[in-house]
Amino acid sequence: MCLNDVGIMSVSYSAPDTIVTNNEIEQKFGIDKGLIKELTMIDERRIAGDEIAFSDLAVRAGKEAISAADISPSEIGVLVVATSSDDYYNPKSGAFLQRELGTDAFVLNIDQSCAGGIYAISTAAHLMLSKNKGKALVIAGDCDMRKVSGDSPFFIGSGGDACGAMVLGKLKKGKKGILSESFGTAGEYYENFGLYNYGSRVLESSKDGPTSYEQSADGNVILFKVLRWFKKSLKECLDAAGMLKEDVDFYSPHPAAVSQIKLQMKSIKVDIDKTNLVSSKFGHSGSGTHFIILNESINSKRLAAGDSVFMFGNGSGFLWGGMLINWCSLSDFERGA
Amino acid sequence: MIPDQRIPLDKIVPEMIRLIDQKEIYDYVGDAIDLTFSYEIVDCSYKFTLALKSGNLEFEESIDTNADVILKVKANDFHNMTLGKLNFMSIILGKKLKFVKGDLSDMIIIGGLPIDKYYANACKNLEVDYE
Repeated sequence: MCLNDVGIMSVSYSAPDTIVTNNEIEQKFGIDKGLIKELTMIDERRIAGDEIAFSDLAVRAGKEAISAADISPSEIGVLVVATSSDDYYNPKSGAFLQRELGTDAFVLNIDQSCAGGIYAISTAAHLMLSKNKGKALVIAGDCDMRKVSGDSPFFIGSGGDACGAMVLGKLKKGKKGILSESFGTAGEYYENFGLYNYGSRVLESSKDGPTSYEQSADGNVILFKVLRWFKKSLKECLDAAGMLKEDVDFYSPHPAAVSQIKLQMKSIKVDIDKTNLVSSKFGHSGSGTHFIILNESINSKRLAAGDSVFMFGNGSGFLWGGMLINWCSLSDFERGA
Repeated sequence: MIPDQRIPLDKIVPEMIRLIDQKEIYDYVGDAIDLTFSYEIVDCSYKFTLALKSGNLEFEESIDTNADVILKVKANDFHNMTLGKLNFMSIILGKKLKFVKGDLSDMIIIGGLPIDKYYANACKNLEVDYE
């Protein structure tokens, strides 16, 4: 069994019901009217109320993904949870989700910031291979918009809360799922962008509530770097799979502000129609957004079995990852654990 | 912000291009993206194009009709924008840019280039107010 033998059986997501418009954010934070739309090209986003935690969204998304894959929770051998917004500092959410979803899977919690979804898919696939498991559940998302201040109209306008889930399965002989992957880290940009709070580096007395949550030293250089990492990751994935960019049917670039997505597509000279700009309705929910894009694209028939998909995500640190995947139908997978 | 005055962009922009260290631009941008921006300076009939190609910044004193972005802007607004004295919020809300082609997402690229210091030095060389 190799990486090609692992495919995506189902993908789902859960987002809070509350829709927050640009107008509401602009009024709440004293931002000039119309600025958020101009900066981000996002119309609205989902933001969780104080009564909703990450695990609430994760349980719902996980149950839907298991149901859509038409499997029993007991078949799941690996559970990987990626988030930067666990319910508690400790314990992390994985064990709770294992219990609530009714699996006895091997559990791993990871935090790769906004790139967490891509890393979680890869990690789960590799764990399936090393542990000889037939199914894995990946849960990824973030739920921390309530902590973010309005100091940066771009940041507050781009974000949203949501969680995605995906079941990976072993494919029947002759079928291919994950075609290639490419990951990288550039630690020299550790201080360039992030949420520099609530860690052991930050003294309790220096916390100033949510207003000190964000820090961005030089966003410009990161923009150019993200485009370069996106192109590098795509090239490495295509080369490894023996494909050309024209062979890719659907792209899911780093799903932050729509303006950033458009630049990523422009950087590779691929038409914007080859992606689905769902960020304009959901915002960017950290590691969970790819799952929304894939689910919504399947539902709107923009993505179907047989299509090849390139996904890319980057996160503060800085780290990034890309995966090239052949989209499969449920009948392509082996049944049972 | 520098108040309205006659800004000789037809002299400043070529001087800025002369001063630019292309290696710095290349190291900063690399192969991130190729984009072409054409400017029509509405109050002095000056037209020029800045093209980011393979990490190099190219310059022509004309409009490229195939440019990714074509925009109209007043000389004083271009001057303040390039010097970083007119922030993004003021540019957007003050409707300082009129897009004939392209949109604001493209402007993130040109706005992100490290050219402000070269523009300031060009102004200094030509004795134009830049502080």
